[in-house]
Amino acid sequence: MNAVVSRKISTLLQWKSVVEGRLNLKFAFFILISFVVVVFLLGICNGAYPLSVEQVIVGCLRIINIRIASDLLSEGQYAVLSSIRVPRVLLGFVIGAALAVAGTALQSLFRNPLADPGLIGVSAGAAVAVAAVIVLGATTLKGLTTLLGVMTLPVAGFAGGLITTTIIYLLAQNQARTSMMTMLLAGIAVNALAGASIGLFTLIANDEQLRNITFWTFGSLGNATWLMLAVIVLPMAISVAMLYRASMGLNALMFGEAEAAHLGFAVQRLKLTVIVNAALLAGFAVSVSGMIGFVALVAPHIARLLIGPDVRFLIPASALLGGGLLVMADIIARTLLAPAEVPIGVITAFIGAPFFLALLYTQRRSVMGL
Amino acid sequence: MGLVLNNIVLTRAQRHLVDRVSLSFAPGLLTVVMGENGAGKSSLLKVAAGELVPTHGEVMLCEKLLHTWPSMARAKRLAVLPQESTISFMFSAFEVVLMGRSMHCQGYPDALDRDIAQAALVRMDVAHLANRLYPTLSGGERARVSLARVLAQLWRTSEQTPRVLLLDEPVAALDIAHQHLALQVARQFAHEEGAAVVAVLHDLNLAAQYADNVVLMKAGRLEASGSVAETLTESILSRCFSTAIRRIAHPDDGRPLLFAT
Repeated sequence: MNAVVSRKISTLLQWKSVVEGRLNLKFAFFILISFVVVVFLLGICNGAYPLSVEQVIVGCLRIINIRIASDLLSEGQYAVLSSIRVPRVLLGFVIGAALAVAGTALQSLFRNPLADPGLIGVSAGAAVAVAAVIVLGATTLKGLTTLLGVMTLPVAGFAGGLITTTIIYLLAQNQARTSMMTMLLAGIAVNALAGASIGLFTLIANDEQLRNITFWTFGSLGNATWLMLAVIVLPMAISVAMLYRASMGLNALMFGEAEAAHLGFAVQRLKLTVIVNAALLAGFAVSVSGMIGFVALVAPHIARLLIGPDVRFLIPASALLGGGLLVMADIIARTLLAPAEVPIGVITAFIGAPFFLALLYTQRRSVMGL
Repeated sequence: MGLVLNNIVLTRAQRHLVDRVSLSFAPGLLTVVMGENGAGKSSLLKVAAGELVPTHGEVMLCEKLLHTWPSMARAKRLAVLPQESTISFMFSAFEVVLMGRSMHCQGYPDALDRDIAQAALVRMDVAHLANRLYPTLSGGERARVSLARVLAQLWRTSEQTPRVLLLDEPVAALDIAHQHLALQVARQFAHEEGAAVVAVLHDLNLAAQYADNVVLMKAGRLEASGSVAETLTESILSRCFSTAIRRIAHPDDGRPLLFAT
């Protein structure tokens, strides 16, 4: 009995993996899940109308129809919690997780830890399509918007993301490897083109459309609703599941396409899976919350440092981390200049861009080499 | 059986990289491919591996056209070691070798796959590096881990499927002791496990010492092919490498020693 207990304690204390520099998987996931729980609580507590942890727990239970200690929470507080805070925190988590998984998959496809849907232009492509629908939705594209209803913007974002991902992949790919230089330069061009197109749309937009577009270009979780969550969660979950099922193939792709084929993977199908699902995740994310950069770069990178590059574990780890980080960024966005709200894209850029520069600094030799 | 190349022509930008080459790599034999830089060795190997599609001709794996094999079944019979494997992601050496087992385990390696990966690491004398990160290893260490990976991919299981192992310059980065280790493993894999092993080499003496068959290429064409005695002669080698090559008998055991003069 004593031996069992002491072995249990020793396995708990074994937080380091046998592989140098990595954490034990169980320990890492324990940390990540705790991190997510903490930022969820913080995210729901904080705001113009502060709530205590007890109130949050009581309120969350009431959302799923478990009523206890109802006197702790007034109707007004419950309304804030259930129709503003909780959907906003959940949306932040879903968007962050989706972007992080899209980043993980694209990084395998491009064999490059710097691939990020924001940097290489996937998000910009999605944003152009979304802006086009916002501005032209009531007139030229009327048929489309009535056909697709609430799905219009997500579908537009998906289509825009799909087109840009495909273009950049075809450009950056040459025989054996994909060129990082081409990928990033193509991203610059696509981002410039997207900026110009969005600029054109702002010229012909009316006031309300203009506000919408501005909101989209900086990113915000301010419009979070349960309906929005309901629309995006299922397709996103399917995409994450499909990428997860392909994780052994994504591992092999990091060795190069030829080698993945020699190892027995159906490489063409694998690439199609990555492009379609990463575009769906990034496109849907952009369509509801605008362009939020760097999450897809930072989250998988930190996750890789913690547990290594094996995609089977990297997908759940970077989803937890990306979701948690975005909820955290949203708390900062809401509280930094309260009552005014800083666009969340500004916050992630302020954190992510220096991170990206540091990454470039440590990798500058290989960057030059490619 | 084995791998058969039928009248292969590979044309890129109006140049014949491989020009009407027919070869057969038989099970149980180690075939060494040699030739000067740009002679088409790597191109030939890439065609044999299915990585490049030949302009004319056909590649048969176990009497069936290579490209008609389902990718999973093919990976259990044909493994390829590329000239160099660049990867910037921090996989451990053990994870790299375990990757070779992908098609045997549908994504979830079991104890057997782990044992095989470990045995392959031991075979290539890199077991002590198992938990080190692959990109931080030296070039020679990486080459041995990669070799362990292709060995793990074709590691003998209960079924007696014919297997083909293609090695593109497997010893280029290795020190002399590990060059011999790698070729001993390659030869053993052919002789004792009945695989068809093909290796591109630059060292004439390693070829003379380990090859069962030698293939000499020049300007995309087959210059000579056959046993060591038939192919590694002064006249053929001097012509093939455009440099004077001498052959003398080893003072101890009489095997050929080759050197440029």
